[in-house]
This record gives sequence, C-alpha cells and structure tokens, in this order.
Amino acid sequence: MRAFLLFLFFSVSLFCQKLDSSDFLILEGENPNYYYVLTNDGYYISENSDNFIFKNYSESLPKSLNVDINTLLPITHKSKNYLLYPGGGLLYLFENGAVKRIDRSFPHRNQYGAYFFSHKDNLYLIGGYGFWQTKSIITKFNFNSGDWEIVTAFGQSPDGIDQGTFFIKDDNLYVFDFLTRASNNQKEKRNDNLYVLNLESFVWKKLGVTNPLIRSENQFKGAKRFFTFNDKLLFSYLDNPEFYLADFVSNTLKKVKDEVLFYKSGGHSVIKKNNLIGAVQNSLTGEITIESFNISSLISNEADSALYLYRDTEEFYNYIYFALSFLAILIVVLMVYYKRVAQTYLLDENTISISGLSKSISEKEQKILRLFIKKRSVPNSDIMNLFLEKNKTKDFAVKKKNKTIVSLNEKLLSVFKIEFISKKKSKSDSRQLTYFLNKKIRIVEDGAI
Amino acid sequence: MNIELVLLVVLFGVIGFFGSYYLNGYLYNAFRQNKMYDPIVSRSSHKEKATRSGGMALFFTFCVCYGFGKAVFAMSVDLYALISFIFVALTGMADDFFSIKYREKFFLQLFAAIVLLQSGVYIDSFHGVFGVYEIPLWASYMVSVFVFIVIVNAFNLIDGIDGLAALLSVKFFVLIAGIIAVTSSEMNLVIPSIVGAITGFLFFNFNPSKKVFLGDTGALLLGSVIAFFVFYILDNDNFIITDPLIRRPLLVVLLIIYPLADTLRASLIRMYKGQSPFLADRVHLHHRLIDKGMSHWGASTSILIMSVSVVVLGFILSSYFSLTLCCIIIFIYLFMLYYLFFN
Repeated sequence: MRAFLLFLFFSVSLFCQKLDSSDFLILEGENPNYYYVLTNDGYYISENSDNFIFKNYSESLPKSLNVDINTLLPITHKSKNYLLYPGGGLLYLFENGAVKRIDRSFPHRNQYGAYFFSHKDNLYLIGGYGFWQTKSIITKFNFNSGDWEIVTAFGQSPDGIDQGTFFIKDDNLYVFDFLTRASNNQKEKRNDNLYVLNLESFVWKKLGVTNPLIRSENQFKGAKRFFTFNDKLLFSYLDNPEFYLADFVSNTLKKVKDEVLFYKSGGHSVIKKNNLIGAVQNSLTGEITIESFNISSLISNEADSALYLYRDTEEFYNYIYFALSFLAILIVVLMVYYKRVAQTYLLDENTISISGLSKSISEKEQKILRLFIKKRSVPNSDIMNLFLEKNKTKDFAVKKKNKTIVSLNEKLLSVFKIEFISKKKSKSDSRQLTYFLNKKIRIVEDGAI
Repeated sequence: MNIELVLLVVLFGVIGFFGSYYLNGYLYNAFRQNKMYDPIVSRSSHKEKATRSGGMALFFTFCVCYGFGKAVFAMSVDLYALISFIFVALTGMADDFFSIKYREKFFLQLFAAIVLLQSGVYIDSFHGVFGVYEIPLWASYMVSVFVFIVIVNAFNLIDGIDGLAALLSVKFFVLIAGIIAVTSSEMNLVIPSIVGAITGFLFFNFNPSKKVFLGDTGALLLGSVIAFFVFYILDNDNFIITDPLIRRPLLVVLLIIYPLADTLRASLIRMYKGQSPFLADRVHLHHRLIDKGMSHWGASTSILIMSVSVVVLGFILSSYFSLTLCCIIIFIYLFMLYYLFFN
C-alpha cells in the first residue's frame, strides 16, 4: 500500500531536476522530445523525458549578455531557439550548445514586459513598457540587416500593452488583460477590453469587454502564465489554484482546477506534448526543481459550465434590440391605458370635469350620472326611482326624467363635444327602456382610487 | 444568456412596478385627504387636481428595492452616491412642501454633487473631445460638479408635461442597462428597480382622475441618479462595452439629448430677452407641441421616439464616420426635427 501511495505521488511528476540557482530559463527546444534549461554555467537537456543531462556551453556567453538568464525572452522559430534581451534590441541564437548574438542593434530599453513571438518568417516584439510609458508598438527583426524595424499598424490600437495575455490563431493576435499608461502623469491601469491584431494587414480591432472573472489582482511580472494548448489559450495566475482555458472561436472560458498545485510554481514555463514544464520551489528547503505535469488529464477535469470569454458588440446590439422592444411595448401598453383613461370624467357634488373643462350640474343630474359609475347600462326603472314623488303622478315623473336627461345631454355636448347618454328599447318588450353611457366615456368620482 | 440574471432583473422590475403603483396610490390618497394639490397657475399645463407625490413614491420604492437587493442579492451602490441621492430627494421634498428659493436649491445641489464625488466615480477624461483625454483632479471635480448641476436641473426643467421626464428617464436607464450589466455586477439590479418604479408612476401620471406629478423630489432624484450613471460611463476606470461602437462623450450626450438641448435653448432665449436663464416660463420645446394642440401623451411619446431615433442614428454613424462628422450630421438631424415638429 505504501509503495502504491509513493507510486501515485511520484506519478504526478514524470521526472524532476534540482537546480542550484533561481537564475535559469526553460527553453522549448527545436525537438518535441526534449527541452533545455539554460543557466549561467551551462545548460540541461532533457532527452526522451527520462534523462536529464548537463552540458557546458561550447562557447562562453557573449559579454553583451549582462543580465540574468531568466530575464531573457525565449522563442523557438523555425526549429531554432532565439533569446531576446529584456526591453528589446539584442537578439541571441542558442545553437549547438552556444549562445551567439545575431543582431546589429543596441539595447532598446523601450519594450520591457513586451510579448516576443514568431509568425510565418518573422520575429516580432509587441507592446511593453519603457521610458515611463506603456507601448503598443510592433517591432520586427530584419534577419538580413540585423536591425529591428517598426511595423505600422492601423485601427483601434490600445494606448499601451504591458504585461498582457496573448494568443495567436489564424493570422490573428489576440490581446487582453494588460496594463496601460498613456502618459507620464498617469498611473498604470488595467485595460479589460479584448483586442485583435491581424498579422497580415496589421489592423487593430477592439472586440469587446472580457469576462470580469479573468481580471487578475496580481498584475505584476511573472504573476501570470499563458500557453497555447490544443488551439486554445491556457492561462493561470499566481496563488490561484485554477487554470483558465479560453476558446476564442466559440467565445467560451472554462475554469480548470489545478489539483497538482502547479500554481505554486514560478518563472517561465513551456508546454511539451501534453506536459506543462516549470520550476517548483520547495517552501521549506528552498530547493528548486524542474517538474513536468501532464495537463491533458487536468484539462478533462473541467468545471461545470463554460462561461463567456468576452462580451462582443454583437451581443450589445442584441441587447439594444431588446431595449428598443421594451420601450415599444411600454409605449403600446401606456397608449392602451391612456386611451382608456383619457375620456375619464370626474364627478363631484356639483360639477363634472375633464382636462380643465368642467360643467356645473344639478343634484338630480349628478345622481343620474352617479348611476353610470359602476355600470355602463342602467335600466329605466333605476333612473325613474330618482324622479318618483309621493304626491305626483308617474307620468309627471317620466316627463321630468326625460326632460332632465335631454337637458343634461345637451349641456354636456355643448362643453365636451360628446353625447353622454343614449337609450334603447328592449327587443322583446318595447316598453322596457335601458340607458347606456357612451362607450368612449368613463365616469369616476373625483378622487376615487 | 444568464437565465438567473434575467429572472432577477424581471423580479426587481416587478417589485419596483408594484411597489411604486401601491405607494403612488397610497400617497395620492394621503395628499388628497389633506387637500395638498399642485396649484394651477398661468404656466401650468394641467387643469386637473394633481398631487406632487410621485417623486416620494419613487424614492420610497427605490429604498425598498435597494434594501431587499442589498440584503438578499448583494446589490450595491457606493455609500456616498446613496447619500447624495437621499440628499437630493430631501431637497426636492423640501421644495415640494415649502417651495424653497432657487439659490438655496442650487447650493443644496452643489453639496449633493460634492458628496457624490466622494464615491470615486467622476469625469476624469474628455475621451478625446477637443483632443483632450485625461484631465487633472481639480478639473475633474469642477467639470463633474458642473455636469451634475446641469443634468439635475435639465431633468427638473423638462418635467413640465405629463410623462416627459419619466419616459426620457426610462429611455436612459433601459439603454444603459446593458452597459451596467456587463461592467458592474453589483449595480445591475438597480436599473430594473428604477425602471419598474417609473413605469408604476406613469400609470398615475397619465390618469386624469388620480393625477400624480413627479414633483421636484422625483425630477431631482432621477436627475441625480442619471448624473451618477453619466459619471460612471465617463469615468476612465470603467470599461464600457460600447467603446468599440461609439465614443463615450457622444453616447452620453445622445442619451440625454432632449433635456440638454431644451435647457440650452430655453436659457439662451431668456438671456437674449435680458431675463434670468433660470426664470420659469413656457419657452420649452414641449410647450410648443402642447400649444400646437397635441395632448401631453402625444407630445411626450413624440419626444421620446425622436430622442431614441437620435441615439440609434448616433450608433449607426459612429460605425462609419469620425466623431466630428458624426456630430455635424446629428446637428443637421436635430435641426430637421426642430423645423418639422417644433417650429
């Protein structure tokens, strides 16, 4: 059992190599089967994933290489390993066990924290920080002259790209999660937009706002690592036990739990086949080892659901359609309501009024109109009850009722330009009369809710 | 699409609507029983008895929604911004009840603006207008206070006919809701609460039998909340999803184009006549529509549709033309609208 547990523990790391100093650089190498670890004294080469050999440089390091090895920016381009001096300018080629300078330039000190990448036949350096400003410039190395040339870019370029996260796919360079400081008197701040640069036309385009989930708090050098893995971008932040897997085609972001605690490692790391290779420092002994982690199993351990990587303008347009539809529906609903309430007449003790127009009415007229508050049709008998008097005949009451209604209708028509009350005989019995309130009219008692 | 968020937005919209509807009815009754009607004077566009209780109903509804959202769904607005809103609402209430002088109201608004600046949300960049980007802190404060005073008073001044200030506020909040939902998870429930509350109020505002006005409480409160979101959009620290589509200053101006244009026009006319630019009169554009025979409903919805069309035009133009050219075309469009509808 003990042996089995030991086997499980060691199976996480395929192999490891102890290092004496923290000044080293892991180099991807020209062959998928091995990689290099460069140090000041020599270099290690990992052959067949189980053999780690130390070799001395075949030539002494160039004098111009007067910085720590781990500050160099490495790139493998056309099966050759290149190393760029921090800040740009000096370019070295690691070949046949020797580091040789191949440029005719000088230390630019203009693009610290820039992204060094290869595309087709060229080596590019983009963004960075220098002379108190962040840069969004793109420089290209000219292999014939040995100089660096500025590439003119167009479109919606960011004001500066420092410590960014980059990903290349199909001639497009995606850039996000970077710092910008456009002028000297401005403090550096994080840019949360996703930009894309077409590497054929060199036109910048701003795609949208990235998911707030990937806005790191530890925005300093080495706090973030990113790799291309299976056509997707794999990135992680220091002290965060999660990897993020970004798919730019489907605009999805997945969180992957880092169960092997790789997030505690530091420095530059590379991906070889399905292994992530980086340095891990033992917190107790301080011992640094190069370790390799199989990440294909890690990736399969995806969190529950995919999140969006960025909100693009298309999504905003969809929202705008929704917003305009909401406004249209609101107008329609209010219009229906307004049509209904616009002809609402307020009835109080001696007046009937609407929108500033009012007419005085008698007590009897007020009582007739009051009958129409709750129902739109009132039987003749209900109105007759208002006019019946003890010492008077019914005929007198009928005449008085008819006269009052006609007079009321005329009075209201003269002011409000609409006929209020109409009468209809019953089809079955012509003696049965019913009074109707105009369909367009609504009468409410003043102040009634 | 985040279904959970959509359901929460609907929930807060519904709470805001019913809360406002109930409170508007309740306050209307309370005001009516005490005969606290808005006086009908020569400048008044209404002839019905109406109360100025709508703003209070809006304020209390917002308080209820915020309390519920804060307790249950981590809804949050900066404390200084909240204090500023409350202060502005209390200033409005004082004006509604006691009719305070303009100078006193101005200083109270100034104080509210200074409190709002403490929230850390203010205009710190011109975003390329006149070639200016970042501005010094003292300039940021001065510009922000000026913009706050202008917006708050502009919304107060357009509250002259039924539904106008409320409908234009709904338009502003509905159009920026998408921006806020993406950039601020704490504030994305604030807007549905406000929109629901204003919608509930509108059913009383358009009803002649139980007419309710926003009053100074409502107009100043809505103006201050709108000013806060304007600051939020113009604050360089916030990343706005519309950045690839339209320049922020243009977006903000288009969203509140009617209150700004009407206030500017009215002030210029008064100054031309040698009067105070703050004088209350009937020179507003919406009064011209009413004087032409349109109903309040017709005038308010016409202005709403026109102002939405200006925003849509701005978005379309920004995709093809530079900021200067966009502004020129929009100016021409505004003059066309003026001569077609308001002249």
